[in-house]
Amino acid sequence: MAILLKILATLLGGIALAKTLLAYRAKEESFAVSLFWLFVWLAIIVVAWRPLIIDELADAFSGQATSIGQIAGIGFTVLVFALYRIYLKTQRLEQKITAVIRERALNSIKRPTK
Amino acid sequence: MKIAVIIPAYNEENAIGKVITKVPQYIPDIGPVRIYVVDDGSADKTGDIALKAGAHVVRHAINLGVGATTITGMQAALRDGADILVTLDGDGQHDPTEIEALVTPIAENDVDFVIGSRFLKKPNKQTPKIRIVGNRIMNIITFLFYRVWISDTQSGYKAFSAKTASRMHLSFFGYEICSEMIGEIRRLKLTYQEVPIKAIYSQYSLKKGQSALNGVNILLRMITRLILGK
Repeated sequence: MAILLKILATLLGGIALAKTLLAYRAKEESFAVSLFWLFVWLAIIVVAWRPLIIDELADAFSGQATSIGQIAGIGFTVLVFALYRIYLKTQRLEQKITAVIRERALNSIKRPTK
Repeated sequence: MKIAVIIPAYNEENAIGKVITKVPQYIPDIGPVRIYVVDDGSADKTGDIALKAGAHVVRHAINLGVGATTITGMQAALRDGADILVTLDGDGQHDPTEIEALVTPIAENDVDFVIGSRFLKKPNKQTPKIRIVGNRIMNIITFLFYRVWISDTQSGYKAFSAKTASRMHLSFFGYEICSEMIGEIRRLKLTYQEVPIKAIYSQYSLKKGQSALNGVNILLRMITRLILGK
């Protein structure tokens, strides 16, 4: 099971990495943003294969060991918060686009001649 | 009284002309009828055909969904000074000659909202069983959300006064708007009535209508909206 999860994480991370690079090459993303996502996805692949690296890093920086469970909990919270922000943003955008399209449509009603 | 018939339409070139020609131009003792077809970014000739058939055509530049389309039609009708608004489907599923039955309670009895129900009488044999079951499930879900029991919450055949239309706060883009309207009945304490209508199921209208899986979508969007707000 663990190996399947590792392979899945690598596959998803690999796809995301490829998409990041393609977006950078197509000039859809800036260098800094591409570098950030490159780092994030590489880190996910590394952690998937070597989860203990989190303990080692936490120990090296703070002198205290942190469990993978704690990191996963924090990660999940951040993820839910990010989803919520994205939901609100897409809702706002959708409403603004709808308002613009509606106003344009209402200002150009085609009336029958007969 | 001026009656506005609002027909949301998306790629309905095969049906829209016939639907428009069946709409009566005048309802005896009530008033004249004006038709608004809201073309929701169709890729075919829906808008052109509707215009030739005598409808006022409002066109969205892109496809927004049946809910957003209905709201656009309501605003067009309100701007033109309509007194009673009727919504009906553009796929030929509804019989436009039944408009009189829907607007009469509003014109004569001061009812705020009238819902055309396919299930007040025994559904005809053409009605697919999955639709009957799906509708009952949606009725229960709508009741749990809004505490109003309606026999056909997903009916697109409705009528309401202009005052009601201007008071309702509608914001859903898709089919959820049907349940949202029921919610507004409760929120605004509107008087309402259900009237029986017949549903005309053809191969075309069955293909164009809501799929059973869409019910899951509606539920998910309603839950998301409930949790995260508007």
